[in-house]
Amino acid sequence: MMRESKISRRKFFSGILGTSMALLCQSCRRERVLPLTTSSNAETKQHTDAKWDNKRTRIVIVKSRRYVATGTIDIDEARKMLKEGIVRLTGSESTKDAWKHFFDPDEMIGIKVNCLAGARMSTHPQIAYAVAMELMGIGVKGERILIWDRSNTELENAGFKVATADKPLCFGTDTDGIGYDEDVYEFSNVGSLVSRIVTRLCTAFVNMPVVKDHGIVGYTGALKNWLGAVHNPNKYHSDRGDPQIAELSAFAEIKGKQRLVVCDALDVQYHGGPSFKPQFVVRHGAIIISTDPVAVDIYGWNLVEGYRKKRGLKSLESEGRKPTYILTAAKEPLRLGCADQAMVDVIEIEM
Amino acid sequence: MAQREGWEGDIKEAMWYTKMELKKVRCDLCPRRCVVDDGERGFCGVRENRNGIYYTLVYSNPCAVHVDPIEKKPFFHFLPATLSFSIATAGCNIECAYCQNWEISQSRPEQTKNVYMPPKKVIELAKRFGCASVSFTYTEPVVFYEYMFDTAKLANKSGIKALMVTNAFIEPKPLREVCKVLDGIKVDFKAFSEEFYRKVCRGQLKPVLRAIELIKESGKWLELVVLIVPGLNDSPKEVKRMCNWIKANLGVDVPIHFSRFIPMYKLRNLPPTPVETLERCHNIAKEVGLHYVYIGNVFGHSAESTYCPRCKSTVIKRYGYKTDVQGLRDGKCAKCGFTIAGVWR
Repeated sequence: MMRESKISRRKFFSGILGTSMALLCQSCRRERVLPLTTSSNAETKQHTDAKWDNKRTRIVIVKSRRYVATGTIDIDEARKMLKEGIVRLTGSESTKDAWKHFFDPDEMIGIKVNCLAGARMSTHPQIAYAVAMELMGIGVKGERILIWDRSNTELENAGFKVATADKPLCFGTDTDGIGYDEDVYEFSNVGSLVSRIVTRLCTAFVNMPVVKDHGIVGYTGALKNWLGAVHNPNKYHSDRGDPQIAELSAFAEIKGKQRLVVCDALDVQYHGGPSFKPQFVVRHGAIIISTDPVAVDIYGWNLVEGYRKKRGLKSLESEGRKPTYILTAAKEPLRLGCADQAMVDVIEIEM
Repeated sequence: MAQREGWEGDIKEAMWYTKMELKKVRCDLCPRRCVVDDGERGFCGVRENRNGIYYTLVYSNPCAVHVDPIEKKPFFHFLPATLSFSIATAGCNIECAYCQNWEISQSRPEQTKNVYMPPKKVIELAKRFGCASVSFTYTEPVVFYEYMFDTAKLANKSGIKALMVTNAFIEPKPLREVCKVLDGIKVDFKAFSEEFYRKVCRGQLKPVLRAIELIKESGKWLELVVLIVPGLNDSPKEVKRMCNWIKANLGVDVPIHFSRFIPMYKLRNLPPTPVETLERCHNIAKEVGLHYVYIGNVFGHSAESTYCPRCKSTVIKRYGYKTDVQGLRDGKCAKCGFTIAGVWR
């Protein structure tokens, strides 16, 4: 029996457009698959003192030449970068299949951005909204996607539009009716209340950090981005955050729900962080996509070290700021990802 | 000028800090000496670096305001049976695993319900409610230093006493300055081991010992409270070492209260302190020779009352917060005339 296939006029044209765009992208992109040790920051010190099973892990770097040249990005370009990256990460045949690899349409998906440093050094809203649109593309309703951080003020300062009714949703933990869970959780010896966005609202997360130097713990990226989910991030800086930052990322409600890391490395701040210091920011033009927050952080850390070396600055370790919490996150008993760069496949795509 | 958020009190530059390179600051208020990046806060969560200037976010911004019997602090040798106007803001510079007020001490000011109450208003209210003193208490006054300092100065001028209830985790310079405007200080002496301070409180013992000595040297009234936690700071050896240190460095007239632990915050797996344990601590302190030793959080216990060190008669009888001072006359034992250490008027 023949199965009847129906396709709407709109879908038909979008399909054509999509195919055309894919072909166009094929023609304009350059792709390389290489181990992390041979990447552009190979001259920097490698960190291989943690092991991660025997499984290989993968990170995809999508670089935008246009961003490097102009310092601007729009949602369409961000979506193109995401599509390229997510397909290569998963090996899927289509972007929808790739996103469906991680998310179901009926989930409540939180997009955890990082807004501490204001408009110039926070997660670009264009990329966060692009992720939201990609998720809507697989059938996730806009009201089931929440772009979030600690506070509404920080979100607005970073260029996000706080929306409790619009789609996608966008608000902070300090929104009326949200707040922090009443239970005290312990991460190392730090007692914290955790955002209800983490414990009650969302079933899945896309972690969207930025790549920055941090004056106390050395580096802030994917693992440290979760400090925006607790009521007392100020208590986490003792001992350069080790092990409490790693332990927070191992919290079941975070570890179990974090499906994807989409790290905004369009700009990299290699010194003077975490607040924005324009003199130490370079246009790097990349987004880093992976399921492995440790591998992403090791990559980001190396980026920071690479730029520091180029600018004649000491390494983080020399300044007493080696971000050892990243290595702790890879080790027993946490095992949140791979810090052994020999086990990481780095796929670079240039657009 | 810093931008004021809706939850903030008066934005005020902090008193004790050093500016560093790249708009960093180093807080010089407590021994933690946090180096704080621009846009970040210190460990206490209530002091923020904004563009290279360090601000207190809790000035005139208390989250707890109560009129308490002074015995609740507890001060047992300072104007007994009077009321103390008691205030606290959010924040603390250590993190005791058993903190009894953790909901406010371990929070940031934007997470607590605050009222706007500048120092002048505190004094006005203290007078209106017939309070003999103002107490800076509940959380950790060191972290709201500027607010405490200005309020205490006003209290001095108004004939109201100013009291601090503190963990004494404070640097010597700011401590000496604030002692000038305070009348009495009660120190929560957590234990007599560095390990306990480090593991259970995320603090340090050594600077606390130095601070207690400085308070004593300042001549201001001093009392000590030790919350006895079963299995963690209740060993007779440790209690004896602590009492010997008190005797040698502070003298026998500094009152010490051994208080009962109630399961709280991160230490909910331990039982309340058995009364026998508190009695053992009490006996050790008496054997060492301390004059005024109390048991706290056990209402109705005979060791709530003050006894004359010479004739052993009851000088001040207490039952919970009910206080009878009939055994005290002009600061002396009514029966034998022995001078009872304290601030009595």
